[in-house]
Amino acid sequence: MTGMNCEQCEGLLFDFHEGRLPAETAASVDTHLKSCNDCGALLNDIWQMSLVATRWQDRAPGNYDRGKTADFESRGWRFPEMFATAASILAIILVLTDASINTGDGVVLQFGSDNYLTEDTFAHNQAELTDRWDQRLSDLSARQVAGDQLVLRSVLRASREERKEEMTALVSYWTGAQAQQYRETEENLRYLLASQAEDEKDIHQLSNAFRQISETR
Amino acid sequence: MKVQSGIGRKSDEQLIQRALEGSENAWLTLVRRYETRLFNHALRMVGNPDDAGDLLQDVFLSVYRNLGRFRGDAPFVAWLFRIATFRCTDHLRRKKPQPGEYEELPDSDHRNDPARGYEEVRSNGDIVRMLASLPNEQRQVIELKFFQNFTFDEIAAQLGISSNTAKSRLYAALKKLRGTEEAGAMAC
Repeated sequence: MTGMNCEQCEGLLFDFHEGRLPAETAASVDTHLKSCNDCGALLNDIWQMSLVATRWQDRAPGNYDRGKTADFESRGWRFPEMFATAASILAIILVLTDASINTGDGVVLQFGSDNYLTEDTFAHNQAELTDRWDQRLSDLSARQVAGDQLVLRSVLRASREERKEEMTALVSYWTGAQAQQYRETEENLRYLLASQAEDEKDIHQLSNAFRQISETR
Repeated sequence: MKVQSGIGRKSDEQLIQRALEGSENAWLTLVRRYETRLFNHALRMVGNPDDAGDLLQDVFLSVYRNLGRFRGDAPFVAWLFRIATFRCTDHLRRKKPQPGEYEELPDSDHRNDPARGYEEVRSNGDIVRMLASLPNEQRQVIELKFFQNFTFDEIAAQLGISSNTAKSRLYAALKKLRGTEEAGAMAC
């Protein structure tokens, strides 16, 4: 950085004073300071003011109550908490006094009751509830079994039909194959019989020929 | 003057969290940590120990009531001094310093001359009188830079100005003080 002006120098002066500039930049600032009395004076001001700051002797705070720096008591009783607490207390009072409120449009809000649930009533209700649940469970099981059977039957029927089709195809194939075999056997026998007849004929002719030759000699 | 953290020492953020949960002890620890630094800051800004004490009380109460809004984006100390600087400015706006305001602070050589060279500015009284010769905006940056050692970026964030403006105010303050000194020297 060469040819630094005062504005640039002022921007770097604090970092220069605190030794935070890279060597090359610091050298440029130094060069400028040697030729600029204004910036030199400003650097001296920074240096002097830094010294002044070190001369300050800290005083202990006076006229000050540390305990009054926070209102902890008020923090616990802000409006939402107060409202919630008041509502809870009111609800408890209404229930304990069995109070009833007529809203004026035919609705009566009854808080609390004389018909408190006794142990016997509770046991009876519980048994009734258990029976009801058992019945429902039983119905559900029956429905489940019926459904399963229906599904099984459908599967078996489909399977049986498939097997029937397969057997029909097999019988059809087997019948065809058997007929074909009969035909072939019959042809073979005929061919054999024809061959035997021809052989007999040939033998007969040969015998005649042999006899004629013998008679000729 | 920066507060260093040590072994077993709870951080500001930990104390704030505890205070928010209702721990009075955590809050008072935080107050003790910064009260002296903050009181002396206020004293240099307003020049009167009684007012500085009142401001200290106000600042901490304000900080406590707004503790839930502290997000931790910047250090707590920066947030604290932002509130303190605002309170001091507000105080000075309402109550202009009167002649004789700084009499409670002893003068180094008991001369009632506000304009002297840096070399002669030695006591707290001298420093307060020197700072009082500056407009509030310039005094703020001198205080935050030289006495609180904040960076220009931190000062800018606290005062809601740009970093360059903070620098300009600081240099203007130094030039003004130099002019006062020179005038003082000529008078002597």
